Amino acid sequence: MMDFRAACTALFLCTATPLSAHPHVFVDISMTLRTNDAGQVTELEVTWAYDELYSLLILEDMGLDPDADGFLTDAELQTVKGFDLNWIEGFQGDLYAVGPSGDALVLGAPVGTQTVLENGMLVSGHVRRFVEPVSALTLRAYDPTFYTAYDLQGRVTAPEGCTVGIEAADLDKAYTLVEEELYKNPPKNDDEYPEVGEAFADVVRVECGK
Amino acid sequence: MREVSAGRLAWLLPVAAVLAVAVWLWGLGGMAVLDRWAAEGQHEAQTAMARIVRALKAGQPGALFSLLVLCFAYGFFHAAGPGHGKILIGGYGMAQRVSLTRLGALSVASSLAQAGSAVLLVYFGIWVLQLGKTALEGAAEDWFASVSYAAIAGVGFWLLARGIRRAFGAFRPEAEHGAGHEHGHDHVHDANCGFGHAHGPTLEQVAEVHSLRDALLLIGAVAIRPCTGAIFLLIITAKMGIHAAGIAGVFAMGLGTASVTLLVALAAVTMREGVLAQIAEGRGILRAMSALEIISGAVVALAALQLLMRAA
Repeated sequence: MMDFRAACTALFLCTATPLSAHPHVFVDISMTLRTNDAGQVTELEVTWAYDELYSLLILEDMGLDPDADGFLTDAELQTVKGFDLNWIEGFQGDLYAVGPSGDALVLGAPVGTQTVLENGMLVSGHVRRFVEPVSALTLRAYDPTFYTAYDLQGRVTAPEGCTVGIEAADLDKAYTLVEEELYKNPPKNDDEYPEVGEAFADVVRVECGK
Repeated sequence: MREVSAGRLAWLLPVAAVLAVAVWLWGLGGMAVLDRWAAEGQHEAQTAMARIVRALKAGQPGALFSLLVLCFAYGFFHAAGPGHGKILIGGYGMAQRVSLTRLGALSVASSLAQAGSAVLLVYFGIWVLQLGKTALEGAAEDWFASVSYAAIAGVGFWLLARGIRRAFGAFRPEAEHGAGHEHGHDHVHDANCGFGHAHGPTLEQVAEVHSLRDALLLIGAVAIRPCTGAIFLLIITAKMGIHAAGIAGVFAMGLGTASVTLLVALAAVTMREGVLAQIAEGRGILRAMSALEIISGAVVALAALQLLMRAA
């Protein structure tokens, strides 16, 4: 996935990057955490609201909403359901969870909840279960290649007994990192993308059962 | 024709301005500010585009005009952030003594050709190969990107080779006259092709070098990789059956992109002529030209190769 950005003589605006700094899909994301009786986090519901252009693209590609009036029939809603849940091998749902000791937490496959069309935006939800319940974790939602840009805006809900702290991404820093990655010389390993998406992710810290 | 001494003064101001912009962009984090602004602008333009396309489908009057204006804005943001045409136009403008008019025409032509290639890809893909969105998006992002980087690297190396050959000519006294002839391209002589051309036959020959072949190579290298936003719009409008509107929109995007490459062209020509104006006429200019070619060619080739390796 790429667009293009490059160093050039330090004389003009000549930049272009395959992937980074240039997302093509914009997603408003929200997350809802759920806990068990012991107050540990067991699962997480993620909602993705796709930007109107990408939503329109999906709908037209699937031949839905032919009059483009922004309403889907029940049959059409059935068709579109789960359109974004056929994950290819290795795709982690653009969601990264880390435990207290810095170890990556394993999340199960997504289970779709619902897909609706709201104000021209396709909104789809899915649930991920933690393989092992946890009391404290850090969450980040991002596409490593930054082809998709996720916007969280503090939309994290957790049950009582949990504290949620959100550290917003420093976008100026993130874009500076993009520049540095792209201008880095010599380049990184040949087939390695400058995976800058993480720098654009808000950091969500959750502690439950205390 | 311009007096050299007057030229020096006249070039000083724009050169200083371009240098100041360069320092801001790369020295003071301006590039990051520009990236952020471009990405936010693109998001807004993208949302507005979806609404206008729906209005167009609903037959709302004035929607087509709105779409064209918006596509222009989208093209502008797209190019202000990342747009690989800039590196090529800028590098070529630095390396070759091409006039601003000609470089500007190349900018516009390459952007429009890029729009044309998006139209060809989508319509060939949809009608002939019966591809869906995923395949088309993948083709634009993966395959064409690599081919395009390779093409750009090729142009860089070619500028480099040409500069080295010219350098050999320029540093051998007896070869002074022949320097412009060594290149053997199909010269299209153009009397109107530069800023300070009253320096005798050698410079005339230097200026002749930009040929039809140069132009086609440049345009081809840019056009070979269509922009993803254009692909999105074309698929949507094709499926909606509003083909003409989508195609017109994509060409409007091309013009928006061209508006940025035109600025780059202006900066490149200004810088180059500023540098050359500081140098006495004759062999000094030839040497400076070879140096500019070698440096620009090397930078274009390296940058493109770096991206090619990432894309592969």
